[in-house]
Amino acid sequence: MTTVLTVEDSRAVRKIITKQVSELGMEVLEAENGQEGLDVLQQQSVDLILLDVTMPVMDGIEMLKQLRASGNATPVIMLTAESGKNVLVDLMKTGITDYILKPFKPDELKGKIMKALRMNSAAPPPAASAGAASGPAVNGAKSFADVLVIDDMQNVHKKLRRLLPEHMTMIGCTDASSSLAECREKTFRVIMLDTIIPDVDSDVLLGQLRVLQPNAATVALVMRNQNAVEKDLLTKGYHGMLTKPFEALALEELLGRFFDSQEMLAAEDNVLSASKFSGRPERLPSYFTKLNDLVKVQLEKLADACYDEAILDLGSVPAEADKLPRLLLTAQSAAEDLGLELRVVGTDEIGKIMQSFDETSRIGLYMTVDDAQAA
Amino acid sequence: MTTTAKFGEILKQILLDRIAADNLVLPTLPRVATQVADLIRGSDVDLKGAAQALDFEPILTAMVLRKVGGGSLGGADQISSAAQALGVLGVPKVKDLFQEAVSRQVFMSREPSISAALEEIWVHSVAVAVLARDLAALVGAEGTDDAYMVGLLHDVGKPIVALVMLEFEGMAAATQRQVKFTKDEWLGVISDIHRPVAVALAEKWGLPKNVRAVIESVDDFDVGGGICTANLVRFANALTKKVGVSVGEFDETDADAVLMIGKSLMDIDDDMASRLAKGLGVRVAESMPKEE
Repeated sequence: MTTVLTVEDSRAVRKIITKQVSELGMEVLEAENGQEGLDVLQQQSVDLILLDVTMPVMDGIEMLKQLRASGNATPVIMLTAESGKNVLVDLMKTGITDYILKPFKPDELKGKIMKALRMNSAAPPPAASAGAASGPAVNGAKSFADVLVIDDMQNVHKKLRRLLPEHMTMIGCTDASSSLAECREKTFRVIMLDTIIPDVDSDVLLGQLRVLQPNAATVALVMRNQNAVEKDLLTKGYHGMLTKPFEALALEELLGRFFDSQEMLAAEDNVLSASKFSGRPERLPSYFTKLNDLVKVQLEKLADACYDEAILDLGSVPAEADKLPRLLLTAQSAAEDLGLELRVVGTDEIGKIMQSFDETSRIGLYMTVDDAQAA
Repeated sequence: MTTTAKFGEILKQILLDRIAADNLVLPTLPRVATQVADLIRGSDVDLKGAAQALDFEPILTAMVLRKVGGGSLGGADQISSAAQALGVLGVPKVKDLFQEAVSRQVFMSREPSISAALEEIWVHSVAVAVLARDLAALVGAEGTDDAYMVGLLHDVGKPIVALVMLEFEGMAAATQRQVKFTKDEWLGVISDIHRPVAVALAEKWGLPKNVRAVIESVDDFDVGGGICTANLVRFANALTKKVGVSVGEFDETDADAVLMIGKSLMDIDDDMASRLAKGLGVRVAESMPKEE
């Protein structure tokens, strides 16, 4: 178990620290001053030291000096109310790993402890079984949302909400500060940003959004008469462009680019579930093309994870006689190559399509995932 | 005391005397001068264009704030952006001020490394402004415009000392006398005297309190202030130096200490800080006014 030594003269502060560190699933040792801290360390080695600066008998700086002089390189986080640069420079030269300004927030303390332990590769990871919080949880995990729309015109939000698939979550903001606040709280997959918002430099805002949401795709919302050249927008860092008034097909194409793999063929254990097709009929070929690509990738992952059987749930996939066979053939061929037994979940209609090809006629068809798993 | 140090002391006294006597007149920085001259050519001044020019010009911004701070205009403490200051002044006063600024000759050094150092001073100021503004926005602080303006002015003493040194160099050349500095000597003089000059200027010109706070103490945070403009600018200044957008040499440990304190004080996480600072130099250089 990870052990943390807290050296602090205030009993109240020690109590707070002990509570926070214990919540991380770590053992806590306590000392009231630097001398006691050194005595503890003679008896037992620890993974991290939380050290106060001002203490009676021996202060934190003296304890740290003696510790380092003895060759002990245990990471040390200094806790102090001292914010002067020169004091901290001296502490850094003595060899502190990090610093926390008192009074501190519990999350900050937990975050810095986790960071210091990660940096110190020799230290064992905290005991997960004891309910230790992981990095992101310590710093406050963000909730997920699909689309953030930033446009000063409320009508744009309404239009997009109507055009986006129902299952997608969308949040609309009309100004820079509320959009940044949303980005501090949530993780978005796509951010749609109007390039002309009164009193907002959209290029500056884009840069700020990208800092907060480095993994989100950004789409510029432009007007037809803006003569916006997509190349210029890409240079600025946008991943795509959407012209106002919106065309459903253009929006679907964009969404196809940014929302594909995970949702179109979700994997849970050895069950691959194809998502329902919700777009316009013209988009059906592209939906099947993507499923074809994804099924190979996902089957490879199952083989890599040592599964013997793969269950492909096609219950929500339209039984298109001209497109489904290719998907089934692709899946069967990939499964055979990987040594997996393929079971398909689907309707009788899918069964008929399977029976009409030699390669797929021997694949087991089941009405439900439970049936396929029980087989 | 070396000759350069003596020169620095004399120059400091000259500047402090001029500030005290309220007769310090300064030109705009070279490339902005052209932009400003264009702005005042017509019968009216485009205030939006003027505000954009000020975004890159600490000296001119300080002059505008000085004008706002004087008389019955309400004082510079109420001002949080150059655009707001220009609006308070109004077109005729802005035109007069810009006219005065561009009428001053901008001296250029014959030494390329010194010209490059002036550019570094300028780029650093703009970079701190950009970073402070973005930080303010990202941590949800009040007043991103204020952060930009204070960031731009945090080292206002440096371009002032630099331009006056160039003026001396130019005047000496005109009288066939030799005044020649190496880049290091030149930066050494600026480093030695820019802070007292800026403090005196900020006081005399009545620059906003956040500007004064940062000028007086650029490395020590106001712990009680938490996430405030001055602290954000202090953090931005250290981070800007750490990513190499700096002027001359600086102490890495000092910058690390300032960053460590700032992160703890304002709850800024490492990932955000590093993403924010990534490519800062290039971003700022691309946004600066280009040479004609």
